[in-house]
Amino acid sequence: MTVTVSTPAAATDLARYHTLACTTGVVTALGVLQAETSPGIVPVGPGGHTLLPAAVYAASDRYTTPQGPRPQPYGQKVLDRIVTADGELIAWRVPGGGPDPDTGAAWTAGIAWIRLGLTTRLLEQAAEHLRGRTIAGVVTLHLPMVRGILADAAAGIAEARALLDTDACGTDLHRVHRALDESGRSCLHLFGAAGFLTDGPGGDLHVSELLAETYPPPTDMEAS
Amino acid sequence: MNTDFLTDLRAHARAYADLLRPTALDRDRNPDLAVSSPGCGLPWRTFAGLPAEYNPEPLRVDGRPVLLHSCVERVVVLEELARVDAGAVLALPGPSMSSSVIGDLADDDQRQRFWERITAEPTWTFFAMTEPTHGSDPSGMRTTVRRDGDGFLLNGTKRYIGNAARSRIGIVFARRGAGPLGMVAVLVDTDLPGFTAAPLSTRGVRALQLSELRMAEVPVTEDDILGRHRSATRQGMWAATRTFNRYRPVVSCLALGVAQAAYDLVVTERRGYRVAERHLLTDWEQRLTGTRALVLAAARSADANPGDGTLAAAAKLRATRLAEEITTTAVRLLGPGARWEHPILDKLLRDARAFEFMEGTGNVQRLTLAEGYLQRRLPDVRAA
Repeated sequence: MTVTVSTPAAATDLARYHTLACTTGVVTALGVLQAETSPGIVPVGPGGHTLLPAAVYAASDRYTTPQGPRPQPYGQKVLDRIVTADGELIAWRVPGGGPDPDTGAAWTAGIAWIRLGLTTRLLEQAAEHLRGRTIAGVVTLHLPMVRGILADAAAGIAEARALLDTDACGTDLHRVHRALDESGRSCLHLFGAAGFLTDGPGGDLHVSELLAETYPPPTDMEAS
Repeated sequence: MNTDFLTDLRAHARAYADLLRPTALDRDRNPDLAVSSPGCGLPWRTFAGLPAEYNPEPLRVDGRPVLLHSCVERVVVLEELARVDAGAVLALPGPSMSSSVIGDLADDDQRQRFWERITAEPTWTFFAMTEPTHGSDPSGMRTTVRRDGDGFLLNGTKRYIGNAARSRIGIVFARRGAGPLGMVAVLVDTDLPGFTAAPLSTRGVRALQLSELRMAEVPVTEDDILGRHRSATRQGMWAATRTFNRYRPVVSCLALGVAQAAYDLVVTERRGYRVAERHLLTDWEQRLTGTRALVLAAARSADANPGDGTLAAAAKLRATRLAEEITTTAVRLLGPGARWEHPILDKLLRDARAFEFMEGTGNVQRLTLAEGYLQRRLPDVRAA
C-alpha cells in the first residue's frame, strides 16, 4: 500500500494540541484536532481502528480510507470504551478504513502532539505525587535514584518536543512515539502501585499508548 | 534437585497450565471468578504449597511428591502457569506469602490454627505490609498494635494487598515500639470488629484483586502476635525481609512467564520479519534464557539462605524489565490495534506492569543488589 503524505501544519500551529491535552484532557484535544483536520470525517488508523470521543462519531457522516472519505457505515464493532478525566473515548473497528492521503499526515502529527501533552502532564503529576511521600523521613522526590528516573522521563519528553519542533512528520514521528513510550513507562515507575489503579494517573498513559497503537505514523515504505 | 528432575517438573506444570487457558480472559474481566472457581481450574491444594499432612494430592514427578515448599520448585512450576495466566497464579487459595512468616515465626498453636483454618476449604490469605503514603518503608509504618488491658488494639490502613478482600485470615505488620525491632507480625481473622477490606480496581493481574485494609481498634490477643516466643531480633522485620527474599524470585518467575508468553504470541502470529526484527527476536530468546537461569539461581540462593536477597533482587530487576520490554514491543510487532485484535496480548502487557512494584520497586532491588555486591554476596563477582 502506498500512502501519499501531505505536508502537515507547522509546529507552531500544532503545539496547541499539546497544551489542550496537558491542561484540559485528551477528549477535548482529540475533538479539536478532528474538527480542524478532518471535519465531519472519522479518522481511521492503518489497522482499521478508531479511538475517538463519542461526539466526533456523532458529528461525522464519513470515515477515512486510503482512497478518500467514504460514507459512514452502520454497525461498526465497538472494541473498547475508556473513561478519561474529561470524557469517554470509544474504539471502533472499521473494515476498509485507513488513513486519508490528504488529511492523514496532519492527523498523525496532531496525535503525537497530544501524546506529548499527556506525557508532560503525567510527569508533572508524578513529581507532585512524590512530593507528598517520604521514605525513611526523606521526601521521596529528593531521593537521587528517584530523581534519576524523573530525569529519564524528562529527557524523553525533551527529545520528543525537540523533534516535533522541527516539524517532524512521517517516519520521524516514530522516534517521537518511542521517546514518549519510554517517558511514559518511567512515569509509571515513579507512581509505583498508584499508577496501576484503573482510576489512577496511569489512565493518561493507557490512552496515550492506545493512541500511538491506533494511529501510528506511516512506515518508510508507506511514506515513500 | 537435578536438571532432569526440573525439566520433568516443568513439563508437568506446562500440562496443568493448559487448564487455565480457557478462562484466563474471563478472570481478567471478572476477578470474582477466582473465588467461585477456586484454583481457576487447577486442583488448588496441589499448587498451594501446603504441608504434607494437609496435602492429600501433591504433584507427583518421577514418582515422588512435589509439595512446592522450595523456592526452586515454585519458580519452575509457577513460571509455566504464569505463561498462561499470572493473575490466576496469584489468586490461588492458600498460604501464599504468609506461609513464610508462619514458618519463621509461629509457635505450634499458631501454626496449627493457621493451617487448619486455610486447608478445611479454599481460603485466601494476605500479607499486609504496604501503606498508602510510605509503601513498604518500615520506618514510616503507621499501623500500630498497642496494649489494651489483657489484649491489644490494631489500628491503621494497608493498601495494595493481594487477595485481602476475599481472605478470612492474614498477617498484618504493625508497629508495637520504636525502631526496626518494634515491628511485629499479627495473625488477624478478618471477621473481627473494626476490620474492613475493599477491592481496588487495577489495570492488570485483576484476578489477584489488590485491596485496601482498614483497621479501627481491631481487638487482638497475645495469641495473635507471631514470634512472641522469639527474641527481639527475630520478630516482624526479620520475618518480612526473609519473606521478600523468598518471594522476589517467585515474582521474577511470574514476570518471566508473562515475557515468554508475549514472545510465544509474536512467533505464532507474526508472518515475515525484517532483518532488525529477526535480531530483536534472537535477543529476546537469549535474554529469556539468561533471565531464567538467573531466576533459578536466585531461587537456589533463597532456599539456601533466605536472609540474603542479593540474587533475588538481581532476578527481579532483570525479569521485570524483560517482561515490560517484550510485552510493549510485541504490541508494535503485531501491527496497529494489536491489543484489540489480540486481547491476550493486552492482558499480558497490563499484567507485566504489576511486577515492577510487587515486593519492592526497581529502586529497592537496585539498592539491595548494590549492597549485596559490596558485601561480596554475589557468587563470582568481586567488589572493587
